[in-house]
Amino acid sequence: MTHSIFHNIPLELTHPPSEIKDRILIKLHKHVITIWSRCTLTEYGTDIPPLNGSTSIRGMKKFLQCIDNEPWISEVYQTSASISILLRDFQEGKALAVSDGSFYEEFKVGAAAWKIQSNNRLEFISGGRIIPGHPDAQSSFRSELGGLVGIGMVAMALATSTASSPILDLGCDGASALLRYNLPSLKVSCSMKDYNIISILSKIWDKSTAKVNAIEVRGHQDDLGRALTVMETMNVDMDNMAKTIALDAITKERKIPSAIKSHRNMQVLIIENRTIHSQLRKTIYTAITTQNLRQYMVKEQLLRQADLRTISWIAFEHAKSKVLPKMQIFITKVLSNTLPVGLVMTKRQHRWSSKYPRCSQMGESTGHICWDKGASNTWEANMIILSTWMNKVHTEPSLALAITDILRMWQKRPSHVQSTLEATAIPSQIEGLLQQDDIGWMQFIQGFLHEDLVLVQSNYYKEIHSQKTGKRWATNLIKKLWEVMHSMWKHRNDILHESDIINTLSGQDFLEISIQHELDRGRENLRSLFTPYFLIPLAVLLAKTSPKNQRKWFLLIKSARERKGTDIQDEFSTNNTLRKWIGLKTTHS
Amino acid sequence: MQEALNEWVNWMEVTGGAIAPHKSWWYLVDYKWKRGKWICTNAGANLSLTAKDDTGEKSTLQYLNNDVASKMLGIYMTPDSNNITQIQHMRKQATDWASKLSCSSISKSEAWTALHCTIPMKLKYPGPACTLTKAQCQFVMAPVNKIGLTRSGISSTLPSAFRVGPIISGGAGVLDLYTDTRSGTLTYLIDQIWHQTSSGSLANGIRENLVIEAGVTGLIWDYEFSLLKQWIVTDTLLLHTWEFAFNAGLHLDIHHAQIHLSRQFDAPLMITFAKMRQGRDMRALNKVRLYHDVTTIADISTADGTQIDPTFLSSGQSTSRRNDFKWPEKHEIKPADLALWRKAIKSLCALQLHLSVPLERWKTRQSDWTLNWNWFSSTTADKIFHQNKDGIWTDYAIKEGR
Repeated sequence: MTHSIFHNIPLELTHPPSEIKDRILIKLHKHVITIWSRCTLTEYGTDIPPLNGSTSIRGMKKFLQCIDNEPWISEVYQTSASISILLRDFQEGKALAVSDGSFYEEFKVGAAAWKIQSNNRLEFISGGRIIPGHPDAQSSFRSELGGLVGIGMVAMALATSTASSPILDLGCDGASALLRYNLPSLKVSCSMKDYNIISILSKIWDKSTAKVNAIEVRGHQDDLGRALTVMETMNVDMDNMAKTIALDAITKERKIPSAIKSHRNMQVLIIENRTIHSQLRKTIYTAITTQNLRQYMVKEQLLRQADLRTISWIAFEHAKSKVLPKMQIFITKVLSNTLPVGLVMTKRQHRWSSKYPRCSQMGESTGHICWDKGASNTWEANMIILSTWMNKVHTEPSLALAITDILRMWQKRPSHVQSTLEATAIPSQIEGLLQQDDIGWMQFIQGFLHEDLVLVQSNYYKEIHSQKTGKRWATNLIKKLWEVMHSMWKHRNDILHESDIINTLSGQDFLEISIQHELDRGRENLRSLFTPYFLIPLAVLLAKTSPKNQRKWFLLIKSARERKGTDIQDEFSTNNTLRKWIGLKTTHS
Repeated sequence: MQEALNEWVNWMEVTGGAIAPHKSWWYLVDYKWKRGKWICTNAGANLSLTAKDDTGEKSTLQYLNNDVASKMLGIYMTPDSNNITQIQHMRKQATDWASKLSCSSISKSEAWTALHCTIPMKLKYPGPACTLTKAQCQFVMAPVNKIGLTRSGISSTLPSAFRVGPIISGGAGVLDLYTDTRSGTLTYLIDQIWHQTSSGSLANGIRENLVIEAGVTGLIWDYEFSLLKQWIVTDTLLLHTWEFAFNAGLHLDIHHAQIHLSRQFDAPLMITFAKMRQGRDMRALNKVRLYHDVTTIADISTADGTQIDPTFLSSGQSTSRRNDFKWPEKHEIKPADLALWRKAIKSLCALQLHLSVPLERWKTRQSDWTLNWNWFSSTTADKIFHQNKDGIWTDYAIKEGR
């Protein structure tokens, strides 16, 4: 603390003072000021150093990384010993640029490479890198766009540092990516696929003084044995470079950044550690509703939390999108446990008994339509169809056999499934089948396949050099399993609705007893209008009248008695399910 | 206002247009601080505006209260942002559709198609412009769900997760109006901000105001919504959108101008108060913080960082220059608020006004050293300088030095 005292007579300054040293706080007395707190700046923050455009590759790299704050553009830089001819050609619009992307679908890794070279092919600048983003968001389109951004940034840097505005010939073998390379910013929207890279491209070309003459180059022409054009040669080089970068990342298992760090891109969102940069509104909506649905499945114990990570959701989603709306609705009902089986119908008060129509076992559940012992023949017929189909699509033979054997055993004796599995499966598949067993075979029928099973089939297709994919196999298998389930459901419905069982389950026995009681009572104090109804003999009413007409007869008499207040207390007086079936008004109790 | 209107009508006349008074109306809105919130009030009830119609005759334009909705671009909107009329309108649309569907003799698959392709588009349209709550969305969708599902052969008691779940994931794919509305708003905001449109600039302004009102450092989206909602009182579309994103587990990666800590061991005042909270009224504390135009402990501490500057404990508004933010309109401060503020500030101190954790080195750049402070000493120690909030400098000469 200082002990200096200052006059309290201020003098206004026309310019900010230059001799400032410390920040202080003062105490004001009548005519004087004293300093009571003081602090000197001891640690300066880092001022951004002034940056100049440079023609050297090091300077340009720094230029790209600092001025434009786009450090993600390239990880690998290569350049010729000198770039003076390249710069001259660039200024004169004679330089050539090519970019290419490479995408490994299996590993979900994409990389891009780009090159700008002088007209005499001697001088060049090239670069490339892995494309950031969630593995599921990677695609060849995204990789191509990544390469175009590399070219765009370098072209902008060269144009800035040479103070020129040339037209650059730009070659790319991705026609769809070329359509997006310099969209006016007004046309860029977050409903586009990979809108974050497209928005960067748009800003780059908006700002850049260089312009582009886009040329679609034919890719992979090196196998044809003909002389290649300059652009085609550059494309082959860049294709190889992008592949090298991607394979390097795959073999070294490098961590791929989940998002692009750029000040130019349209903002992205992160859902469950996954960056969303395509079709934003639709993706947000789908992600939220899907997440809620899966959590509900876990809550209702259809699946376990751990299963959510191991199920092949892609196969499930493909299958659901490929089937007819009728099947889509059926599967939704199965999964949500709202299929009108006995338990559901009694809960909704639409049926008196929850018995299964064939075996008369109480508590018919969704699973029961498959487990029914009386439906073994139908199940067996379905298994034969399934087995034939699996052979047709070249399913790994022992896997096909194991699946049908397990499903046969699951239908007969679910408790014996594990022993069947161990007896049938060969060692290379047992792990996958055990994993599926862990998820459940009812879940298997419902379309929840473990990813390991898909992998087993995928590897088999590779072994036999087939062009088919495990994902497609899984999709079709799910569709077949749903057909099996639907066929069992139809079989059950045929039994229920093509006989009188539905009436029995709805309360026909009670109806007959009540009809007998009403006939025994006679008309009593009901109006004479009802006399003909009581003249019908009991035998005719019960044996020769259809159940529907029996219900109508009873509805008439019962409601008339209720209006008169002379009805007798029976099952139809209190049970709402029976009352609904007859057509009587339900009671609140 | 009348002059502006006249000029606008004249300009329209030049282009060959004219206004139709029976189709025109006007609002004049003011905001007042009431019960801890900004309330929209009618400011133009005693005024009238006239405009020339196509025949050149002057007509009085209809004045509407701020809770009366008017239809613009197919959406009923009110200045006080109540959605009552819009909800009634949407509910009517849903009911009409449901009653037509229930009377028609269409098949299940036709009903299924109608459920996914007709009514959702109609109900989705006004979504992003309104801030409908979850309950309001359920109210609007109820007839659609009940009749649409039943006619499609699905029980109307289908669990909601399955009802709105995507078809490909196992659900019925019926519109979830709330999620769709909010994701539409979020998408719209991101789009407009990037395109730097007038709506985008407005959203930027609202976003920065939100940061100042929250008084937090770094990205505001990194904080828990429920924590900051304790003292944020300005109701905005952005706030509702953030609430939706936070509850849905979406992390917003939207950049904005940030408040930075200026010293070592510095911390945002509101977050510090929230951590030490013992049933304090956070809204009252934030009101006083905004009154003094400060955000962090460094703003209210002395230059050496050891003590609280007592001027921030007085009832008068501080004249100290601590930042160059544009602060929102001041709230009305009550003595109880000030008492609470003093108590909260003192809880930062160990002895009298000495901070429990003294602040240390400045993080300010040398070029910014004179920006956000008001008193300085000269290098020769014979002068002190003062900089007021408007950036005007004065100097004071030494009387005696010891």
